[in-house]
Amino acid sequence: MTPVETNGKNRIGLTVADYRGAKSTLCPGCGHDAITGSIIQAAFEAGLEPHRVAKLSGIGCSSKTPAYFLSRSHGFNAVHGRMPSIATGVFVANRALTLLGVSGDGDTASIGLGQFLHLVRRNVPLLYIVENNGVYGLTKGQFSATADVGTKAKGRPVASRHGRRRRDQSLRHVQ
Amino acid sequence: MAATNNDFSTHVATVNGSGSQTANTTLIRAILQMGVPVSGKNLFPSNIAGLPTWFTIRVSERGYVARKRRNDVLVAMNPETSVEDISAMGPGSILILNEGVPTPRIPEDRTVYKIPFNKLVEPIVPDAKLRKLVINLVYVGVAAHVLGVDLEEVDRSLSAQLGRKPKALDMNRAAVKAGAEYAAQHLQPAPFRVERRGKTSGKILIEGNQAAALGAMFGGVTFLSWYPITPSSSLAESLQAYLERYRRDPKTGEATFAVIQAEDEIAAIGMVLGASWTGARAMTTTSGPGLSLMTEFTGFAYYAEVPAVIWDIQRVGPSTGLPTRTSQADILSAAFLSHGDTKHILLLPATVEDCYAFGMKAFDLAERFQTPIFVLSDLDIGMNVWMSEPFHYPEKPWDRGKVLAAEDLAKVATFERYRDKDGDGIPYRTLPGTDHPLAGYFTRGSGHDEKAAYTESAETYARVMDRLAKKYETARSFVPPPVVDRVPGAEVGILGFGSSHWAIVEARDLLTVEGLKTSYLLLKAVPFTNDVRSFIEACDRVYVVEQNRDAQMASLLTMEYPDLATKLRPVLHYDGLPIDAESVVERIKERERVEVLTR
Repeated sequence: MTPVETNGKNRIGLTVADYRGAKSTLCPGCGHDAITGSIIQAAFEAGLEPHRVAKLSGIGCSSKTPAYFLSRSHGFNAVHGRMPSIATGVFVANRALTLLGVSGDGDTASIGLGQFLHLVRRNVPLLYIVENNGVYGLTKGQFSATADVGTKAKGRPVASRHGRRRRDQSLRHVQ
Repeated sequence: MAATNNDFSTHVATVNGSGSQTANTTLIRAILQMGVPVSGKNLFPSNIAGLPTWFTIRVSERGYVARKRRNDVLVAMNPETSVEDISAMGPGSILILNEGVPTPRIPEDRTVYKIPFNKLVEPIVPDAKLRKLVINLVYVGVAAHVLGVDLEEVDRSLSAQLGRKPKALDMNRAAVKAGAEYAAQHLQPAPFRVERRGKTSGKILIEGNQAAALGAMFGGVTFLSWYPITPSSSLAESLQAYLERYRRDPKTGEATFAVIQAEDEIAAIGMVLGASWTGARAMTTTSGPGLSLMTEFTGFAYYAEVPAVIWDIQRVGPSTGLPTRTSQADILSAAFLSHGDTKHILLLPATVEDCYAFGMKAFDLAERFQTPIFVLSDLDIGMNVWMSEPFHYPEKPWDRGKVLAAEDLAKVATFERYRDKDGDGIPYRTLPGTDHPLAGYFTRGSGHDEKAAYTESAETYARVMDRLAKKYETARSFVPPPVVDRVPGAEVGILGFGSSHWAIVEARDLLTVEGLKTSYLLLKAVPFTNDVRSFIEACDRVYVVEQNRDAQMASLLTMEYPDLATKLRPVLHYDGLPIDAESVVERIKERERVEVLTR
């Protein structure tokens, strides 16, 4: 889409600032902030009406980010891994809304895999962004279900597929 | 023996899935049509088909509809349980046995009729498979004759049920006739008779779950998300059926509602929260294990202040427990469902009228207080058929609570989602889609301030929690008040709620006959209103009747009124069978003896 901009305003007369949110509290240099920046830019360029957007997330670093963009939109920061059910309820109650879901690898692929699959099965129309870094940031470094096999983290066991025991890891630590 | 008119219980023992429902409903409706108060209770195992099932029809001139502990007439169709069924019958009872069922030694003071049910139904239904479904109508014919139920009323009742299926109607009619004719030739009228009265004029028969569904529809529900679980499924299914029938756009035929069968109860409550947050009147239905699964989300909804209506049709727990038996044992779980400091509003329907009324009321409260509302019904109210006055069309518009639209926002300088502007603990909310720059806010389960911004400030956290407590205080004057019957001169009070109500009504009459006058408070909601304190204060001692082991309501009362705790005496019933008046009377009398002795 070609943004129609005059004097820093988009096609509905809003500035980039109108799409920003609160200041990020994530670690400096976190890739999530780059995604946040892109969302702000994309929403601005697309001329999204903020009041028609519902931001939805679960729990985790990624799920905190909807607070950092589109502060004029309603946001729902749900419980861990259950954003898809909230999204489904919101969609059913108001079909005119544009749904933007932000989740992480733990929120989507570990605790939330069940709801995620059912969301896909039901074909609920929303933009679902998985900010996948393969690691639990908020709880400081544990692996999620999407961690690469063989990944090493400082002072942690090696990530592995379920059931595949490795020499340097006890079964208790298999993700 | 002199006949006992309009005061007896008939117990029918059949096999699950044998079409006994048509037979039982036919008899109940016929008795109701004769102007005699009647109630029916289905006792069924957790099984799909083929296991024993029992149905009890209680006829009571005085309008008692609780379970009667002893039955007077038995219809034993099931060879698997006949020995036990027969042994449970007392002196003077009438036993109508399917010829060939095993029997124990039967004392002589019982009247025994052996009926060749199979032979009677054979010529009517050549198809052996179908026969199984029609044989129960033969006992309707037999029972009608023996108990004095007018055959014309039986026919009217049967037509009302099967009028749209002429073939089935003919077959069932013939079965009733065969039973009645056989009985007329071979059986004496029983000493238990139904006699015409004019006491049921205008009354309806309905199950609590159906009543709740009707109420929810009139209450404007537009979204239901649920996961199948006994005994709550029939609420969701009734609601879906009503909505399909009455809530489609007449012009386009499009649904003006949505129903989603969720993948589990966590998703069910999640969808409800998403829809409520967006402005829909949304509800879910569940039981036992489903309630446990909703724990995290209901705590979220309490703290983030999102409306939700949760119908919990209580069954016996813990765990899977006895899924098809009744109890009132979710009181404490529901009252505090969540981690952290949480207090929920509970509605406690005692009758099918309450189910209907609370079907609407729950939405008003959920939206007014922006919090989950639990309606604690149970299997006895929900899945059994009850006589009732017809329901009334709602008289007042819905209370949609404190919602600011774009035009409201245009008049204010700031909008703060969690600011207590009115001093009642209830903030204002906006709905997604509201076209105003001030409308948006961020809903979160983490610590937040009045502006809905993240905070870990100690002061702010405590302030928000105090406001939530204040909101709960405000709810006291919005929830349905108890129904109080203060009897002059009565030292003893009885406090009950939910399906225990009918057993208490009957127990009070029995106690009065024995010289013990009682006052009564029928509790309809938590938090308690001031009437509850005044009632306990005015009584010397209060029996708290409830269907659980741990005296859950008495515990809540003790927490609320520690100064009055010594006045409370739990009366507990927790075997999975609906509570009966005799049990209430016995426990109160037993305790009263101690009271008198220790004076």
